[in-house]
Amino acid sequence: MSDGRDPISRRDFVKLAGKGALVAGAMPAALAACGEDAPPETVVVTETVIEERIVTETETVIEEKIVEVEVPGEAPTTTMGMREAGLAAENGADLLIYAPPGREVPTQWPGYLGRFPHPQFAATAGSFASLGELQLGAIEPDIWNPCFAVFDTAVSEGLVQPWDTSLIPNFADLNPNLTAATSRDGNQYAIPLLYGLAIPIYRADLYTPKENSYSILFDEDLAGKVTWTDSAEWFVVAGKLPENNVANPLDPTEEELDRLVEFMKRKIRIVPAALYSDLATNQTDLATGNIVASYVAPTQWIELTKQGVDIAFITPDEGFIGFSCGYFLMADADQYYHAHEWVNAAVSVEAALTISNKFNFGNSNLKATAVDNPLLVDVMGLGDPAALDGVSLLDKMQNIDRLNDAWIEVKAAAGV
Amino acid sequence: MVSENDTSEKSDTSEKKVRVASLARRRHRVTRSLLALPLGWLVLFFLIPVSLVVAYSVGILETFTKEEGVSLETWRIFLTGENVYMLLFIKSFRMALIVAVVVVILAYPIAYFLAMIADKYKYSLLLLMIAPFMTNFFMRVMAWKVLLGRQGVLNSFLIWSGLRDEGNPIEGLAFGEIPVMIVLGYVWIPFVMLPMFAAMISMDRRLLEAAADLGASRWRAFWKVTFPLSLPGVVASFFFVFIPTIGEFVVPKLVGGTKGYMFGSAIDDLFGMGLDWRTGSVLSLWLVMAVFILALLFMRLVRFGRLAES
Amino acid sequence: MIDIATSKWAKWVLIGIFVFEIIFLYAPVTLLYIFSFNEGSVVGFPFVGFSLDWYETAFTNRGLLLSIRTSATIALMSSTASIVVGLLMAIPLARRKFKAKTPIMALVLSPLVVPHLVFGVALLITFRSVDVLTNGVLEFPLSLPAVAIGHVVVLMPLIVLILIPRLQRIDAHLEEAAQDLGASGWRTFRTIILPLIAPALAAAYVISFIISFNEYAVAVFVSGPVTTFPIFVLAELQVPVRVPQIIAISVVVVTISLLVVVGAEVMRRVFERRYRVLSQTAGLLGVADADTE
Repeated sequence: MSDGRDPISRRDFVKLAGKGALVAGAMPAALAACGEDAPPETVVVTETVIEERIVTETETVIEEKIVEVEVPGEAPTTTMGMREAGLAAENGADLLIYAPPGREVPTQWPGYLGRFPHPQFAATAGSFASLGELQLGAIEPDIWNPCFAVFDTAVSEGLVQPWDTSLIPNFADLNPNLTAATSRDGNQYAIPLLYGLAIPIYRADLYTPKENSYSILFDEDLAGKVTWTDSAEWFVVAGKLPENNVANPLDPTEEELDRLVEFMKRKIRIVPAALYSDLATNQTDLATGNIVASYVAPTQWIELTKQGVDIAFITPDEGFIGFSCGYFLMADADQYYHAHEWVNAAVSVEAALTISNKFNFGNSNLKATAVDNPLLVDVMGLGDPAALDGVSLLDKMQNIDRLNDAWIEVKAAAGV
Repeated sequence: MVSENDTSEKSDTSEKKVRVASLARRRHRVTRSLLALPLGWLVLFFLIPVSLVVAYSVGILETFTKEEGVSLETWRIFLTGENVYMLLFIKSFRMALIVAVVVVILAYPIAYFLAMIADKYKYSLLLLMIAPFMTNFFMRVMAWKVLLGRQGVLNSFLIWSGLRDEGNPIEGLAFGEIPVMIVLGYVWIPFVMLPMFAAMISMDRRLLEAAADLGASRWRAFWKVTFPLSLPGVVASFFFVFIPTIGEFVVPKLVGGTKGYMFGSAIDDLFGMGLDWRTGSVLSLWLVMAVFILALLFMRLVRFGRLAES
Repeated sequence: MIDIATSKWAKWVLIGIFVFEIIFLYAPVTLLYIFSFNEGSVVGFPFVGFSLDWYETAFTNRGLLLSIRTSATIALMSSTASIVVGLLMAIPLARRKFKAKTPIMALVLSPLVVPHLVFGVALLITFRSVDVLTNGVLEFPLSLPAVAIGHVVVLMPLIVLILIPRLQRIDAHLEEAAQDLGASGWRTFRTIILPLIAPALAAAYVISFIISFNEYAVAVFVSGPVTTFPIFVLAELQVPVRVPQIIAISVVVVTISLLVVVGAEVMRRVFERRYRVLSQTAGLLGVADADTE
């Protein structure tokens, strides 16, 4: 196509797709009719597409201007009057939240229902899978609740817009380590809800670790009995090991990534029998002894311990890896003010306590420390703003696309 | 698959010929109108979408900003084996072949049993086999792991009953190629049985009786009559399993581990995780083309088989 | 009359194989029945204690119940539509001669090989193109019918594969005789072909329903904000504490479908009684009928 490979907005893309559909649909028929090769048609295609691009770019510019007028955006001068007017102008019943199941229970956003119409919920199965769906417009929510390994991609693809934190009073209580990881250029692109540490755990009845490190997950004595998560964050885990000598595991250089790929290709062959893509299956595997060591969120440790499985965890010398999940405001959100009201309710102290007590995750609200589970307070330092200081938060991963592609390459090589 | 009604053979008089010809014309018209809806459906909702995948594979369509314009580069890299995916395809092809053959062999006796022996109970028994499939797939696979795991039901039973030592459970049933194939077999058997069942049930049993009258043994009657007549069903069954199995990605994800990674898994990952839809499209189209060619070859074979038989 | 199909011992061997495969198919389901009563949230032994809590949680979970209703609706729509479309396709393919048969057959079967996920993405773009090409005048709503449309494409080859062998076995003379006697094409179909293929149609319908009910990859892309059961389940798997309620509901679903199976069987027997009269009549007329039992 044309010169620059500048980002296209989703609207542009759909236009492009529309044009593509016509042309591409016509192509096989045309080919069959004249029994010739594609080149002439292809040229035509390219030209049409360029024309379309020019038109849509102008449209986008106009749209952006309108957005700036209507929406206070980054301006901190939002008055309460504007908020009331904004709420009144929207139809709150259309507020659509794309989140994992469970978020639709009103105890997770206390105080919202009753003041506003019941919002709608759609279930997402995974952060990265949702990324493609959202980019294509398969679903057009106002709020999206992924985990923030997608942060860099979501922001740089222009899928999301910054929150106006002045409309979210509870924002002041949120853990600064978590909010810092989800802001860019002074814009708060995401509101963190929960976090966890990625802890190495093992069946204490079946294995004794040699050192306190993520390296147990690469221990060849456990061949066939370790799981890795099925995600590119595995490069972060490997990057943290001293032997791999990576300066910033969250953003390895090309040379470092090449070394990590080689390391992983070697290790994936001898060590793990299983990758897991969902936590429930992994929990089953640990309980049945299919797996002896794994890499999980504390919630798994707690559940397995409750079940009576002999599980222990390691505090790695190289420091923990952590993840956090929460809320994005979509670029096309048409329930701007309701979205802010809802998110404010969803990160309140009561909501945060539900996250910790019901789902065993750390919560982002520093005031929500009255939890049943001592592990969350002792190990994860719930309520302590400094507790996440030394933790490598996956939110800060950069250029995750190349890590994802490298990860697929590693997996495919192991499968052959 | 040619229907054997050659209408022209039976007409002697010219009057009859005219009638047959007009009948044939009417039939052609009917055929066309019958086909209009399904073909239209396939063009609108299948061919056009697939053309879009073609557009993705050469970069006419793009979704994410990182991609790199119109070219055949992605195709070249794949076809010249510069990346690992071609090897993965060969492996998946092999696995699908094994699964399809084994499943057809396992399902054939069941189909035979239901069609020829189960008598009036055949439909209840058939539905009995299909009923478990209303449970969610993911849940069933999870249950499989509990059954086959290192400390699972099977191993606990073997150890409890003293058939195996405590420290020596059966391994390798929870993850890898073998469990992928077991679970795929589990998923497919009832479905695979159906085309064969359908073929056998519609067989004229008087043919078997005639064979018996001519002094053929049961075994001979089976090989000379039942088996050839059920062959179209067998071929259909084979396709039923083989085709979706090469593109399978859910089962490898759940029980494949790292060894059970398949071609379909790579497609799934490239679309769902890597956001590399371009390579994903190339891989998908390759899959479509390969199976397409195979299907054509197979249909040729079957047709020859049927001609030879008559 | 001696049974030419099997000897006594072969019959027992076959029964043995059947029982073995039934055990193979039901073992995981049985485990699910057991774990639905487990108090703990981990699917695995050791068993923590007996509890009915998961059933209670499941039946008070509005999202879960709603997703099952959604999937059942989609399955009903798509299996009904695909039976009609599949039959229209299968009849000419099995019983007529025409030039384009091989390419059409290949086209019909090809949805089998396109990975569902890729098909889902492509279908989504196609649907989204409608409002672009009409400048937003028309919009294809991403909802239940969109999923059903996709499922019909996925199901059509399976239905055709089931129906064709059955249709091919119907004696062509039967049809010709009817037409020679002046019966219209529709009448021939209704009185001769339809009764003969009814069992195969029923089987195809059941299979379509089940596949559509459990289909994930196409649905996830074209369902819009609607949550189907498989989408719901896969999302819940990310939250392990919520998994046992899915097991509970799965067990309920399988129990219901076993009941439906029994019901369908009763219906079928009623139908078969009628059909047997019909086929005997055909026999009296000296018309070859493959299905006489």
